[in-house]
Amino acid sequence: MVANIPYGSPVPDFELRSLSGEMVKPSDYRGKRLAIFFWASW
Amino acid sequence: MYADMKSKNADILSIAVDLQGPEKSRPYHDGAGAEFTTVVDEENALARIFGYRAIPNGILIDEQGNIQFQQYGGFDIKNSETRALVSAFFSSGEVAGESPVAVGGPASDHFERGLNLYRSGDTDGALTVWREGIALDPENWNMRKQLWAIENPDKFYSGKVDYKWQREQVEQGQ
Repeated sequence: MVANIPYGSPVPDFELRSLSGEMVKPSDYRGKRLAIFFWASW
Repeated sequence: MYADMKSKNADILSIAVDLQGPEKSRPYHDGAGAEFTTVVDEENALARIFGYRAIPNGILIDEQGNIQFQQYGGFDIKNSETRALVSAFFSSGEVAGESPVAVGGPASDHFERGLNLYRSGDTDGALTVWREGIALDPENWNMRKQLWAIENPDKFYSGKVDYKWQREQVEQGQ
């Protein structure tokens, strides 16, 4: 089984390129509350 | 659509999962009048990291970077209850009610193998591998919809996404 990350644990600090070309990672938002939405055009 | 969720000490990061790249995602980001950042996960890399196999998903993270809520599948930001949950978290840091139980699936590398074939130009090979993957894991909507989008681009990329067509595919057992 693929396991989910337990509640209360740190969000993994992945890094992806934005539509405007910068590299962005969750830790860029440290100090703020953050909602991450995952979606697809399909 | 996002105005009611805005808050001074909170932000939104949107992740477009589309292996066909940013040009497929950009019209949706621009169309939503989005004032937040959208990044593109062309490799479906986050599905492995977070353990999901369906979309749309939402994760709420506190100021320290810890996960306070996660929902995999059915987290539709067009839904008013979903927006209210996000707004409440932004203003209070609390998540109302129970967090949904996260869903996992059988581990398999079909998505990645299909992706590698697709990228190398072997579209038929990619579709075959994804069909095998879907047979093993029928609830893997990431794989199923990516396959559909490549087989039937007219249902996805010519104006609006044709959800009626998708429902018909499900009813026909495709």
